[in-house]
Amino acid sequence: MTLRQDRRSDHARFREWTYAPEGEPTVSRWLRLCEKVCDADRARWGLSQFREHLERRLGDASPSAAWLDLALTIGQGYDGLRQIIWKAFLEGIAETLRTDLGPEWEVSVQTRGRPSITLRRPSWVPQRCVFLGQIPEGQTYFGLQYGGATGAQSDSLKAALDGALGTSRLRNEYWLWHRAPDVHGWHDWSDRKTLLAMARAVEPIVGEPAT
Amino acid sequence: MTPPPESDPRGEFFAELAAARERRREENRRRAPDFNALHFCSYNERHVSGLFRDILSSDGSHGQGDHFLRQFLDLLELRSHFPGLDRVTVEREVYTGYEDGQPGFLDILVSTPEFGIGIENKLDATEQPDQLNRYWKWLERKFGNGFCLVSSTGPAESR
Repeated sequence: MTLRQDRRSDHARFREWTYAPEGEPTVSRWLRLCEKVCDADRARWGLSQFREHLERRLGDASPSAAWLDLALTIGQGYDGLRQIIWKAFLEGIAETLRTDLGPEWEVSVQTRGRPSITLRRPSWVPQRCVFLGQIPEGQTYFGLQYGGATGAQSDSLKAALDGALGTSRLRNEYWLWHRAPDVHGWHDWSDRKTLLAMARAVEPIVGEPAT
Repeated sequence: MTPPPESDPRGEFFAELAAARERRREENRRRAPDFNALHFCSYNERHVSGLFRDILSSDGSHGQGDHFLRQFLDLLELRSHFPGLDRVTVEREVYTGYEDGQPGFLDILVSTPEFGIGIENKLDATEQPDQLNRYWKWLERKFGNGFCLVSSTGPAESR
């Protein structure tokens, strides 16, 4: 607004009212007051139409009860739907992995809580697995969970996977590697080729002594 | 689409969704809460100013006398400047003279001989350079200290 500051602050001679949903006074409020004192149905209807139109156009439209009902139904079902989609998605991947990787890998799916897929060789120490799913921060990661990890940069297991997968990024002492979002967005960690490549490339660690 | 089996939680969700959609259809049929012809109309600030002028005028097409004007004055706390509303005139596009090489038009002027309210109605368009200062000076020349400039702002400006 270009009005001089001293004039703007002169409340006796300057007022603002707004079309915006917030702030006072608003055009919308004036129209609503007019509706209340209006005796003629036709004029009242016209005022309400204009007010509702402005509110819709300027972003203050409250959803009608019917739309709210729909939105709440969807909102209520959100967690259930999310679970259903996750479950179908992960079970599809797991099934493909079981077929492609054969009995040398154990593939398990977790669909409750934080959904995930874990892959492990029977010869691995119990805490070690390849993990694909959500971590407590709520993000989705693909990486190696390694119970004995120290977080050391020179970890030989990390070096082996780093060479094989090309996805080195130290997350913390437990999560050694993951597919991180790159400049183009999320890498497709669910890609079958990626998982197969990983399965082949991690061969060197199979013989690693259990820790 | 094949409906999911009854034991599938999807069945319950989609049944609820279908019921909610049916309720919405029924609500639309009876009340049409989303219908508004204005959503399909094209208009600009001049049209809105014209409508405001009509609403504010005691002899406006609404037939409600000065009811709407009273609401406006009360809302903006300007009622005390208008002891009697029968002398109030409401004009639109009031010429405010040439300044800096361009003519000025105040969107709405609500006035008596003693007091004037100049309304600059800004729905979408941005303000021209120094526009409000020019209106201020014009109101001052015309009404002395007895005026108030009212600027309406769109949502983008007021945030």
